[in-house]
Amino acid sequence: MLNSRLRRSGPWFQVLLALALGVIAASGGLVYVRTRLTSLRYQLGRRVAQEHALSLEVERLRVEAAALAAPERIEPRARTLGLTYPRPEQIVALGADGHTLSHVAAGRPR
Amino acid sequence: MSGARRARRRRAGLRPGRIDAIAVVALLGFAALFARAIQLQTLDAEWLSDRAGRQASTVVELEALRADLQDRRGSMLAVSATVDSVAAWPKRVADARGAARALAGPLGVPARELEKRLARGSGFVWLQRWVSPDAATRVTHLGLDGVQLIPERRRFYPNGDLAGPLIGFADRDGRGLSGVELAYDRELRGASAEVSARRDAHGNMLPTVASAPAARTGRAVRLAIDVRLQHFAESALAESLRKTGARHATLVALDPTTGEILALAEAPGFDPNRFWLEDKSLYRARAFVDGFEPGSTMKPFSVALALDAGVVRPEDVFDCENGSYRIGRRVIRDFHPHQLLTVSDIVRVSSNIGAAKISERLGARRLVDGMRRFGFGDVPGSGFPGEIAGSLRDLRERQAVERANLSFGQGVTVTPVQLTAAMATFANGGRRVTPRLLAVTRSEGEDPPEPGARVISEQTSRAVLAMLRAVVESGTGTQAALPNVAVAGKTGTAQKVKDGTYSEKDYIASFVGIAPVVNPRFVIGVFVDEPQGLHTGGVVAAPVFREVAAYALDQLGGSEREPSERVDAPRVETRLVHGAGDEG
Repeated sequence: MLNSRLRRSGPWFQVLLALALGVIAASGGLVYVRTRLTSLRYQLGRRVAQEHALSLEVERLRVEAAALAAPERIEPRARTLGLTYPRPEQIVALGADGHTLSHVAAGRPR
Repeated sequence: MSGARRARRRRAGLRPGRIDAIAVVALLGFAALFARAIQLQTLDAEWLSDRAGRQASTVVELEALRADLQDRRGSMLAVSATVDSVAAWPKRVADARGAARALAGPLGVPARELEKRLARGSGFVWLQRWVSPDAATRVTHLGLDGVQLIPERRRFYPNGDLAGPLIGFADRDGRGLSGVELAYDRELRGASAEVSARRDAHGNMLPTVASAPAARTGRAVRLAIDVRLQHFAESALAESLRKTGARHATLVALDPTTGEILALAEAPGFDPNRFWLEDKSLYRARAFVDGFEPGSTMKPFSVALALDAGVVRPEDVFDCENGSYRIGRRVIRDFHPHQLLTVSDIVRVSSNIGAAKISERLGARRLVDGMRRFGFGDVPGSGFPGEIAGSLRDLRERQAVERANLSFGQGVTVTPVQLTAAMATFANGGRRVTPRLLAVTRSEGEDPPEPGARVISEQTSRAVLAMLRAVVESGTGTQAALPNVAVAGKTGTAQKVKDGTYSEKDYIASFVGIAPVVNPRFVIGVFVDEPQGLHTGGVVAAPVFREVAAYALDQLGGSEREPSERVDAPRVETRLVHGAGDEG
């Protein structure tokens, strides 16, 4: 029935109909793209917020790691484990060849 | 119009006149809409588009994160992070008393104090700045109207009061206010950036798809200090203060080749994390900004200049007048009386009379000029804010008393950094050393730093170094000696000037030493202000040098520091040992 009406109408009607369908399709496409764009922007916003939260966490962890590495914190713990600094008499200076420099340093060349 | 249609309309009660009127009104309405559409779409289009753009878009300023401050091995000395602060808009807080009670626990502030702040009625009040993540979570869970968390940048100093006066601090707005934080503020701060963003109808921020310029974080600054040595030095100074009852103590440790400041300790110090609560007088890094009369630690410089000028030789003998020697109206005395002393012995036993007699041969002008070449009376050039030059007056030849005073460190003021850097000249073959705050980093193939200007000959430098070694082995500085490593140094016990005269009870005890004598790695100056009881440099300052020099040789003396540059430098075989150390 539609075909027969289309056949009865002139070519201008068919062109108009095609244009109308094209406009409707383009409008639909445009609406879809705009909606999708907005949705992606919200997604992006969430990701950016996530990234921001993670970078804040990294900052916080860096501070924590630095505080944990502080000698003032480590030394008392090392002492409780029985560790201590070497006494001056336990320190021996070595030359590049691995031999002690102490004799040279003490003014008694070997 | 056909008669049948007219008849239908007549039956429906519509008269032709009314239809025409409706048609005209509709037409006019459409015409008006059409005209408005044309106006909006063409005539006002640009203006409206601009206005819509302004309403929907906004500019966000991204604040740059202040960069890290590190020690020479990359350990963090100062690091920035974002933390929450709690703010309130009092007019929007319905129940101020209830809100204050609820917030008191998480914020650790008395409810009454919070209520007082909320009652001020101004537009915006801080309730607590820089709260912990836990406190921030608890405040969020309270869900109070008119109370909000606001993210802010905060500077953390993870080592607490370690090197506080050297590092200094940055304020709440991230601006360096003192110390290294101020000296390198421009590098650390970086640059903030402005980013365009769009808002939706609810005011939510939508990120722009186009890449936005990021805020440029500042450049990390790597200091020359080593946190381990710094910590040890501060502990040793604190122990010295406890033992001697002194007011203050300073320690400076330098690399004599590069001038790098490996440790700069002040006791007592302060914690930059809470600088606003600390005594402001503790902010000062006295090593750079306080001058003092050095006393006998200046004698090696007088002697070095005389040796270099060829007016004395190490073995020349001087009559030290049995401890009392008059120059004009001034009588110079020695702590212990001596008769005949060689130049070497004058340094070893620290004779004021001997130093004065040596300076007679040198002359005032050559003495002053030489002292200037060593860097006295001149800003050392480390770049530390407020660093002073000390004072060194020009003398005429006839000013014999002033010349004598200068030869043993009176009538001249120096800073601890200046004196330690000058002593490094003897460890550096007679070349001047500029103290450096920053670590010297050398890329492969890059030339080493330019050597400093020559102050004295290498031969003179060696001769003075031998004399300084004798000071430690059998002179006034025996308590600085290390059993297995030869060290050199000079003691100083300077009377403080109070009310224009030299005090009989207030002294600055000092020891500036070099370790080891062969291939020197460290020059360490220890300065103790107003020790009580025993107050000589040899008793008060030399033991601190000994402890710190031993630690420095142990921890930093090896190849770890600069393997390519220090092939024949002494390495040390011990590390932290288990137990109290029962090996000999």
